Amino acid sequence: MSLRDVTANFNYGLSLDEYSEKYSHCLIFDREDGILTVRTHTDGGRCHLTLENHHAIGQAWVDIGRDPENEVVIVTGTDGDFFDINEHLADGTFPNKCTPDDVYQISYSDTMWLFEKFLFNIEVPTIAALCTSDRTPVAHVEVPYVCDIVLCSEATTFGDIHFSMPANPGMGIPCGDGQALALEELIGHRRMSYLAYTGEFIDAQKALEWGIVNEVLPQDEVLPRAKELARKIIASAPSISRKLQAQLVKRPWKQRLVNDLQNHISHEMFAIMALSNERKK
Amino acid sequence: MSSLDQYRTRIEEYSEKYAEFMKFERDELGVLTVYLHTKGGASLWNNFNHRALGQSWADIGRDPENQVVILTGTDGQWIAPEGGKWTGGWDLLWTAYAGQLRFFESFVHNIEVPTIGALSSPGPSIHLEPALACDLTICSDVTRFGDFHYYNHAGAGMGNPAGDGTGLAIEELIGRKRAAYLVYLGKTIDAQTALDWGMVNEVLPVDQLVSRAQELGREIVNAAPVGARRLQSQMFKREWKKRLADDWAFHLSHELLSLALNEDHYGPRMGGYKNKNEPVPR
Repeated sequence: MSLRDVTANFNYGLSLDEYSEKYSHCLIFDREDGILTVRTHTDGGRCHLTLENHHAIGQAWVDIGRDPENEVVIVTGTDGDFFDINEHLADGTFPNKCTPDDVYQISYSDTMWLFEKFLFNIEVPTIAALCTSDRTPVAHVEVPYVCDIVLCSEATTFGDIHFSMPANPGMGIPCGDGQALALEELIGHRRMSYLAYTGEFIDAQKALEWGIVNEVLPQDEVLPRAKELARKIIASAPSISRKLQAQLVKRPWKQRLVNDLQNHISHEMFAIMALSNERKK
Repeated sequence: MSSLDQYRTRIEEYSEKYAEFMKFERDELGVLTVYLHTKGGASLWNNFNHRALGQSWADIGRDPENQVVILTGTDGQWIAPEGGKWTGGWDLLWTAYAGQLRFFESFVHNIEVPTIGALSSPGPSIHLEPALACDLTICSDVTRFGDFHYYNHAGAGMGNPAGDGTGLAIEELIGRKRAAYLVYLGKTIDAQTALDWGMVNEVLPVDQLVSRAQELGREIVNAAPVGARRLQSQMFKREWKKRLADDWAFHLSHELLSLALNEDHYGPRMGGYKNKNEPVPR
């Protein structure tokens, strides 16, 4: 038995068909020549950040990563958004109606899995295609931020609304879910603390100048360009070289996340729990 | 939260999936004991369990009924080299890299509950790293600790850098100078020395090892609610995560680069990692 057979016969993960079915509620998969496109959705439209999706997508990264037929992974959203910011976790279920076990699972563990497992379980080159059409502030784009290559549409804007919350003025919480951590890694402390405290967003052109994204394109050209880049990556080098190259690119992110992600999460969650206990009084 | 059930794993499923390499046993408190084995006896290391074990951690970690995970071997043994040849083509080096990356890193990252290593390895055992990276580690009184990659100890070593994670885990626990001495000279230390050097928490007769680990597991479960146990265990896993993020890929790439550079030296023992007739996989 050759090592190729080992890889084929001792693969303990799911096949594309199996995980397409398992995550059909929130993710749509499409694979061509080893290029897997993962698209977030809810009922075929923008993906709602429900508790279920928040949990499921983190689990999906493990299944995607264990499939040896994925050579490049592209992540994108539906109708231009990775997550719909208007359909947020804050639907009243969390944290007040949750058991303490659920609170750990939802707040800490799922937040960690949603972000960190993407980086630690998917070993191939990754590309993000952010295709916003209407200047809706993007939310929970930490996964797109840590992709090896990031492309965005001209209308995409970047920032973080946890602290200066337009929907809930005066009740901000720390920007601790990982998105601001990823953005800080890309643009630096000074710029990030300004965006966090003010709640201001920057546009795609500035994001290009500040090094958040690699290319800014018309909305309908973002995903085709991502696929073109994926094909170029596959044509350039054999599989082992692509995976080893990807490990080099992911290394600084792994170090940063290990150092800081759980610290960020615990600070945000501490504030949420303290405020929810305050409300109960 | 019932809508989340479809995303979790279940012990019946992963018991069957990994039956060839691992046996699982869980008590009413959720203390899971994972026994590594080959055909019911001591676990023998080859390509297959290398890959299987590395993938199993994500399945164990995604089962919310596991409250504590105990990792142990079978018949008073840990993992021994199979002695057979590794076979393969160009894929070997990446398979070795990715399989090994997961065997260590995924254990620390994907299992979020308290972990206990119950280690008994009287011979030149290999791949101690997940047992050493558990939150607690206890060992049998006949256990010896060392790394046999570099020094050809009784035919066990190959004169290769100790980059598979065991050397890294030992260094993290006992310090650079002591680890370098063990690796360069192929020396081992006994269980009492390991206790004195802070590598293990307790030393026990081999027949009491697993029951003691299970007793410790139940104490941990009874002491605090689930969220507290998991948050506490994150504190102990943090130092390992930092060390692995800093050094794990470095160690792996140095061991594998050495294999690739010295194929004439290692090739006959490895079964030849290059199959000249096989095209480079795209």
